[in-house]
Amino acid sequence: MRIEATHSEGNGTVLDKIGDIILHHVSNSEYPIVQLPTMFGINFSITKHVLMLWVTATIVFTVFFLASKIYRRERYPVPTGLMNALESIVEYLRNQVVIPNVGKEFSKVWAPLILTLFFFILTANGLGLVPLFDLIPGGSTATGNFNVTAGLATVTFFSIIVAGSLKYRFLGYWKNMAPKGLPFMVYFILIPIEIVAMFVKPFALTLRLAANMTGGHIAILSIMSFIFIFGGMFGAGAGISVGALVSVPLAVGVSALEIIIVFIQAYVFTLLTAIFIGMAIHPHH
Amino acid sequence: MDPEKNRQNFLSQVFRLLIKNVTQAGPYITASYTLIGSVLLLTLLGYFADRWLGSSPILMIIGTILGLVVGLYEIARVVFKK
Repeated sequence: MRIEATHSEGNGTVLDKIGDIILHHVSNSEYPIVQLPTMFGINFSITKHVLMLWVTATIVFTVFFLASKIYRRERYPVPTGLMNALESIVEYLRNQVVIPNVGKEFSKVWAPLILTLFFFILTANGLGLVPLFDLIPGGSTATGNFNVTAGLATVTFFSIIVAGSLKYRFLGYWKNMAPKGLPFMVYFILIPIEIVAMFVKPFALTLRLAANMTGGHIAILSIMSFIFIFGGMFGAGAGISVGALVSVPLAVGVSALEIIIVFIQAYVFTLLTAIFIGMAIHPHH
Repeated sequence: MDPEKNRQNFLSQVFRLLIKNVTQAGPYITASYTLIGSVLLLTLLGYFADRWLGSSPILMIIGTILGLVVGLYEIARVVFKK
């Protein structure tokens, strides 16, 4: 949070400004870091969330490149250090998430995508909790932006269709959408519902991840803003005591909760992607 | 057993329990968010279709009802699954 921005003159101004400051912190800023021209109706400017996406991608790529380097050389068959840590996560996700949901037949096709989604979301969520990135012009959680999560959910949406089409051919996948052997009239209701549900599932993914990441940050910022509200209304002493007794302990608690949420949301997104792909491959089992 | 190893065991047990619970809750998480998502998505679609066609508020109401139907159907599918 930009604390210097809250140093205002009167009571009203502190209260007026806090909403804006919180919004400024969690939303993609209107003033991009690098202004680029609009092409084909799309604004290509580099905003803080775009920057954070690049940072995330770079970190994930570097870590895995370094970890897999030794495997590619095939000199040490026993994993050590970083390799060991990553290998256990990869193996766990493959055995507990991909294979039970997607099935062994297609596990090698979908495990790379599901693992990539997991590590990318986990890193992006985690970077949002690192205060250091606040020093770059307004770095923040990229996955707290609905556009980012919508992009990730679009990947899931097309993977579901591709997964079904790979197994049953394109037409067979669409035939599998509704269960067989129902009265003819029921299909008039069921098919539109299934088609809407097809779009709703990725939309729910988008909503959950972005809302959870943004919600945690707004909670922390609101709790911390009590200091400035009480300070502005009843003097510096009240602000300091509210900060010491209420805001800081509460914010520490919410931050601890956020560390768990960062992990759970990445895992849930991954798990649900695997479940949806599995549902396309094994319909109505 | 030395305390350091005991602590690690405790942490890994807690972690495994958390993952197990999240995994079991997976379908229900989907269902609950599908209800919110479908109502929100279809209401918004109805709202913008209304603005485009100038037929406010008919399409928005239809969208809300359809969203509820889709959401409840998805919940029923999870709950009544054998």
